[in-house]
Amino acid sequence: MNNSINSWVIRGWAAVLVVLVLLGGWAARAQEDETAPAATPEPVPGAPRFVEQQSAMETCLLCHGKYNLIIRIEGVPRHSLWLDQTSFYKSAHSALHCSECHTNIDQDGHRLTPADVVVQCTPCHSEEEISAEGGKTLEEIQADFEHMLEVTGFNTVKTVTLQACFSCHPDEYLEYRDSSHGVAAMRGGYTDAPTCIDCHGSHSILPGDDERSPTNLLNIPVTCLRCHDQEALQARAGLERNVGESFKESFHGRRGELGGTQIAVCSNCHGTHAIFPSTDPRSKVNKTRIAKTCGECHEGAQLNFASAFTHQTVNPREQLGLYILKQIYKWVIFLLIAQFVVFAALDIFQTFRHRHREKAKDSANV
Amino acid sequence: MSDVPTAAMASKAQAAEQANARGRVYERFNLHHRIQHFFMAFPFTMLIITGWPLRFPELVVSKIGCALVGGVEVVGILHRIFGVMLVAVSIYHVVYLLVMFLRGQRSVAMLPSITDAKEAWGDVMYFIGVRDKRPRFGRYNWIEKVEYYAVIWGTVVMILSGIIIWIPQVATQYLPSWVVPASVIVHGYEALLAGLAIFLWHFYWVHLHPSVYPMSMVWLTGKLTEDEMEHHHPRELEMIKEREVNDAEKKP
Repeated sequence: MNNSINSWVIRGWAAVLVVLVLLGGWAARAQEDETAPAATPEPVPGAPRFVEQQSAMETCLLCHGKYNLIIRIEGVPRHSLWLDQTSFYKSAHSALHCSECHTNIDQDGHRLTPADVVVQCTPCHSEEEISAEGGKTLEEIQADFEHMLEVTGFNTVKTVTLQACFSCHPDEYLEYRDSSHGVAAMRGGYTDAPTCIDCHGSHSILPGDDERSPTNLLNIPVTCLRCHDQEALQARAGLERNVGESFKESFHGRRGELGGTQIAVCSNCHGTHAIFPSTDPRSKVNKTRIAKTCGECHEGAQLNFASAFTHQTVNPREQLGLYILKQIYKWVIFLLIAQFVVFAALDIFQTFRHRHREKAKDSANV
Repeated sequence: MSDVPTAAMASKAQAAEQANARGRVYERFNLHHRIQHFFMAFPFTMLIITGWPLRFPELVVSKIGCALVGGVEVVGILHRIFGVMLVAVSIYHVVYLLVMFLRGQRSVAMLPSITDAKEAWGDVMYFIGVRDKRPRFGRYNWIEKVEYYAVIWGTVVMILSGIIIWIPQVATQYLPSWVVPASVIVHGYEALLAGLAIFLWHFYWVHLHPSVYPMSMVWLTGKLTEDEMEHHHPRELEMIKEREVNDAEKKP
């Protein structure tokens, strides 16, 4: 009796369970059917593939909300994966989920992007543990990552970034893709060729008219010079030297230093996404276009006007005439000031000496 | 002039005594001179001040200065206004000289002469202690003449280079493009030179020098006393008195 009652109870519960599972499955499918047409619009070629189930920010922030989340990747000993929430929530992208940009990141383990899995797992987890979890050994993961770097030429995070930004900003992406920056990044070999985030920032992206944005007029020189002022990079990528120094010496740079906003910064002359070397006819500073570029601010500018402004600094190798002029002025000023000071000092000395003598004479006469 | 006392010399001594008794003053700078000096000095000082930030933009004082007047753009506009004032006073001076010349009131006092070289040598000898007295200067001594020609040179250079920087797109239609960066260098260094010359050299002689400290009033009053004339321009005083004596002799 007890057995039969027990078996009925078990059977009853089993039936309920089956019904619930079926219902759940139907509900899940129904939901899928409902959302499916809306979630898959006509795919743009090259557009990023969103991870189906978007993770809530909170899930990511379990780890990425911790400021001490630091990993070691190739060439970067301390790479922080901490998301600064205060800056992110103030940014233009504050309404987006992590996974809307970090499209290739799988929820558990981030296994799809080697760049993101090269966390130093071993302090906490044994190699066996990792191998069992991810199906790959630590060495294999490292090798994958290094191979990826070799093939793409740059950090996978950057590739993902490009894809993510492209989905909403296709025009900017296409301009960028053909530019010097884009070509260098795609060709590989230049791990430091900039993508979107190098100029615009990542989590704290702001519109250009916000003065905290790295693409704000007054911040652009700093943003560009972070790379263009590095001598090693100038040599490797064949960049023009002294661009920072000559900009600071120019009236554009000086007015900017004094807080002026009616100035031209890097992007006003060289363009933004479509940047090319000056020898390229597509460049804004190419001989065929530079007069027009200057004319945007300087009404009536012609080629001869434009060629008055270069990135050459005044030194004997590049600008001998101007260098000599400057040296002459420096010496003339130095010698004249020396003469002023010496003559004035001698004059004062003599004046007081004679006064003293006359007084002595007077007192002797008295 | 002989050493034998004559009637003329006696009357000359008399006239000098009378003048001293009256506390006589001599006009060194007429109203035109004083107006020209003032409207040279004022925009000059303001040009130095308003040009300073762009010359040394990295200094905190430049940034504070720009912020105080409402931005570097305002400073630029002020600099141009004072520049135009300087151009105007320069034209005034040229016209003044021209009119004086045409009227026949011609003076050679400011022209360089061999006497200036001698006086300069004498001055150097005095400075290093070889001679006991400075040379007996005339209306303008060698230092004043050098200053005058330096001002003319500097003003011409500053106006020309300033115009080129002001309207480079026009300037480059007629001139080679290197004049623009050259003008920027010239404008900056010539200004430094002019500023130092005025505030060290000129101010030493008209403010700091023990015989005029704290300030010679002649740029405001235009007048010098007998003592000041005797001290600073003895040869001119001598000539004035000689001329007066001659005039007095002619009259009767």
